[in-house]
Amino acid sequence: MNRGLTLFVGILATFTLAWAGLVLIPYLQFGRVTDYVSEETGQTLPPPMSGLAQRGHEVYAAEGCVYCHSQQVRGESQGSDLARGWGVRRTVARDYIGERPHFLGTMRTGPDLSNIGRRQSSVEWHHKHLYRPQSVSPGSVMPPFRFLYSLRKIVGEPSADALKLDGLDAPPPGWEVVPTPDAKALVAYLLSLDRSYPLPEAPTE
Amino acid sequence: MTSPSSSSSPKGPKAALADALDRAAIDASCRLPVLLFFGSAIAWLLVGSVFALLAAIKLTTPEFLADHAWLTFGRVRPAHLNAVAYGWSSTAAIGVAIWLMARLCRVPLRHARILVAAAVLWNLGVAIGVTAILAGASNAIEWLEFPTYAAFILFVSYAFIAVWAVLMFRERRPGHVYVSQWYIFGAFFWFPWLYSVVNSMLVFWPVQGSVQAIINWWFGHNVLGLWFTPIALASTYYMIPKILGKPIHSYYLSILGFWSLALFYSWNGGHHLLGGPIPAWLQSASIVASVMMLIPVITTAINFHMTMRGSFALLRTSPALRFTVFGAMCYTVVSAQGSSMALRSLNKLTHFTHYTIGHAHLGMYAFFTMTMFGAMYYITPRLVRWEWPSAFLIKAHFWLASTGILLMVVSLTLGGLIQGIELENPKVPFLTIVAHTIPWLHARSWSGALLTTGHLAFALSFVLILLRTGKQREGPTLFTKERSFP
Amino acid sequence: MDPEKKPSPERGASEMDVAKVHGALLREKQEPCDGMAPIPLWLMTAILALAFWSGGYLFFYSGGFRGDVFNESQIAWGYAPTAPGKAKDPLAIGKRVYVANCASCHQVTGLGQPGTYPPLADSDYVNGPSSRLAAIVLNGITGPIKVHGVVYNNNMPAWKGLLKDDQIAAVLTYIRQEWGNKAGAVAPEGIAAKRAAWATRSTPLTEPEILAIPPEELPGTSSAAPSSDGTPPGKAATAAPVTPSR
Repeated sequence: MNRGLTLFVGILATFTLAWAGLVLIPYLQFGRVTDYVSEETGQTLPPPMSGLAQRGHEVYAAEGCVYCHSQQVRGESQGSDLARGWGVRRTVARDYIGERPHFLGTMRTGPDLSNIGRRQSSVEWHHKHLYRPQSVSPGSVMPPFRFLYSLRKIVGEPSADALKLDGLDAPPPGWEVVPTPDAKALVAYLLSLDRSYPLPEAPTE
Repeated sequence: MTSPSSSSSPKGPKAALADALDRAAIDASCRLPVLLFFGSAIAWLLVGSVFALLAAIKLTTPEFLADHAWLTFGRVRPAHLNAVAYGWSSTAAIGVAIWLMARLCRVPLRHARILVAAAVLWNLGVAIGVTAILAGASNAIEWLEFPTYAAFILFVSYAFIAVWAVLMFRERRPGHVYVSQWYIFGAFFWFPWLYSVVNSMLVFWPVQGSVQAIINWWFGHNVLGLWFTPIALASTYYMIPKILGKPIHSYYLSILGFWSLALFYSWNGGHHLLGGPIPAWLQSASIVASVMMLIPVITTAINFHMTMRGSFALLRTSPALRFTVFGAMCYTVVSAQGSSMALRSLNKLTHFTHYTIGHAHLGMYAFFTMTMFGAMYYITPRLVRWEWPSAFLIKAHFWLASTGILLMVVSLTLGGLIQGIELENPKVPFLTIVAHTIPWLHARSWSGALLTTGHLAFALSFVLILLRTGKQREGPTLFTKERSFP
Repeated sequence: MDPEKKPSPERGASEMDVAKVHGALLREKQEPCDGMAPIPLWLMTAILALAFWSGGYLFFYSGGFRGDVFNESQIAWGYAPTAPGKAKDPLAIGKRVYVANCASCHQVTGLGQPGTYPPLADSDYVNGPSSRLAAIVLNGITGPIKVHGVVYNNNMPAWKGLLKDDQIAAVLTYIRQEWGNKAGAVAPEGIAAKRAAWATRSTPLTEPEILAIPPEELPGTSSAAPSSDGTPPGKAATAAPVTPSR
């Protein structure tokens, strides 16, 4: 191989082949699937994300949640995701059409979050958990996100949003811990994560 | 078939001296750009090691430095990845590739200013990108966290380098094109294509849904397979025969290894998404390509092994050879492991666990980084015209790096297997599994401390040789004194 | 392939140049070149074997190369193995509903989380009258509740908006017969009746409210569970306890 041209053509050809196979064809084949309107309930699936949840999606990206939490449920032949209750069916391409960037993830230092809004639907739990994960999940190695909350002096009426903290986390008397807009958006996003609706290519029964 | 670019013995002392003078001219022309790339690479290696240590400690001690948004785990971990992938690995790879190109094209490096501009831009891009990640402006797409502005700077810098490579290759002295040049040539084309295509489809004009994931991992794996691996193999293909003074075992194996790598490595990306929301055929195609990777790996391993046969004793003396051969052996191990991990039956245990992290470090550190260390130990004295001042520092670096990476890979592999087996059993509560991984993660933090100490020794060595400290040595700096080494 | 260029005279070396050349360069070996050993036969054979395996793998696990087939074993080139019969067994459905909705708090083991979420295994609320159990699942709970002498203070969401009658019936049957529990199966019509009775309730129940519900079995509830020796439901004669012993 002493000819630069042969080398160049070969390098170009192998690369283009892989690009066509792993990028172009997938894009044409399932990169343009649209949402699905359920005949039974008339719902649009997957349900569109609310504005606040969309903002929470950005917080999820900025804080790097994706490095420890996946958002994909594998089928019965690959792992015990279904038996663990992380979903009622495997997730499919259509589940993610509204997400930019995708948060499929590759690591489960923490549990899968595909259906966390369904599995843990309490706003209060999520705030307590973000403030200090070990307060509700003893032994967790998740870092606290206290910087998403502000400690402030109660002036007049206590805030309706204030976290109900006790024990170690309780603020000094006369003070309260309130979530920042980022924390509220993140919790709204987490609560929106529910991929348990049936799709034609992924039935739930 | 070929006439090797032999230089020394057959043509008598006069020709040998002329060749040495040619080489001296080539090395002198490379001095500024290559040392600039090496120096900045080592600086990023230290930065990346600090982020790595922080992230490792945070995984066992979640309250450690937890109140600073800039230092939360989810930002420090991508900062580590990007600092070592783009700051250390890419920069070191470019430096090594420039020198190999000049040597193998047998012409002094021209257009050095393009390279100096590229080096400055590259470092600027990485610095802006890493800062942006810490500030919370990450794209949160693994391997592509740099926001648009940083990615654009890197792309411009890389375009400079690719243009330079084409110019350089055209100006080469006519003659045989050696296997290292194929790999470098390939890498210099593949990476900018890859980087621009993927950035435009994921960051600038993102496509929808899980197609993003397949493109993401097509990039994530190609950056290893079509950028870091070819440069490290080019270096190995150069260093082993060069230091031993023997021809590489088989030209045919070189050809088979190169083209099968080009053909199969670029299809591997889908194996990061097994069981995930991408169609079955894509997963199966990537599994097949991953298993077929055995062909280039076995081929290359035979080629290196047969060349080394009879000369293994030199590993005791030559630092450059020892680092390079360590890397080459780990290439075989990590690739065989990678092929096995792509099989569905094993992947369901190892996917989403620390086992994969162990595999990634076996590839990027034990193979790629060790090979780069070897190349730098060979190249730098020629550029500086000074021998390494301290054999002790090189020795310390080798043993800290090799035991450190061994400890890391063993602990993450075993810890990851336990994690994977327990995750398979839905009766084991998740927090119990977390508790069972912690001792292994502690071991990983310690291995990180060993590696970081090794990097400090290497950085110190590098500063000392740049300053030309110590006595001028007659011969090379070697591990052992008793054996005479040419 | 071209013969190596001879060093041109103008690049010829002089004694002065030698001093400028670094020692490392003078002692350097020749630039690398290629040997011509052939590719071993066993490697060729191994490559052929790998190629054969690859073809077979793609044939069987390609899912027909369709964009909407995600399970690798679903279709092999137009041949679709018939899907296994769907489980109509209420215990199997109940288990699915349980792991998807309940297990994140009460755990797959049914033991809950100490200090946070009460256990279901061997719980008097679970094994006791189904009227109370159904009311808890439909409406949720708030505030302290004592199970096995331990007080748990937490919130459980209402499930009436999320689960259908047959799903609730299945999950109640499941938790009443798993982990050593041996209470009777709950029927969907019983849940439907309860759902109608609690239709206007929009807040979670408290412990005193639950205990104020008359302890009775819902319509359609079988009186007992299969005993451990495998007797089918209804054959064993264990009566469900009427009041939770606290």
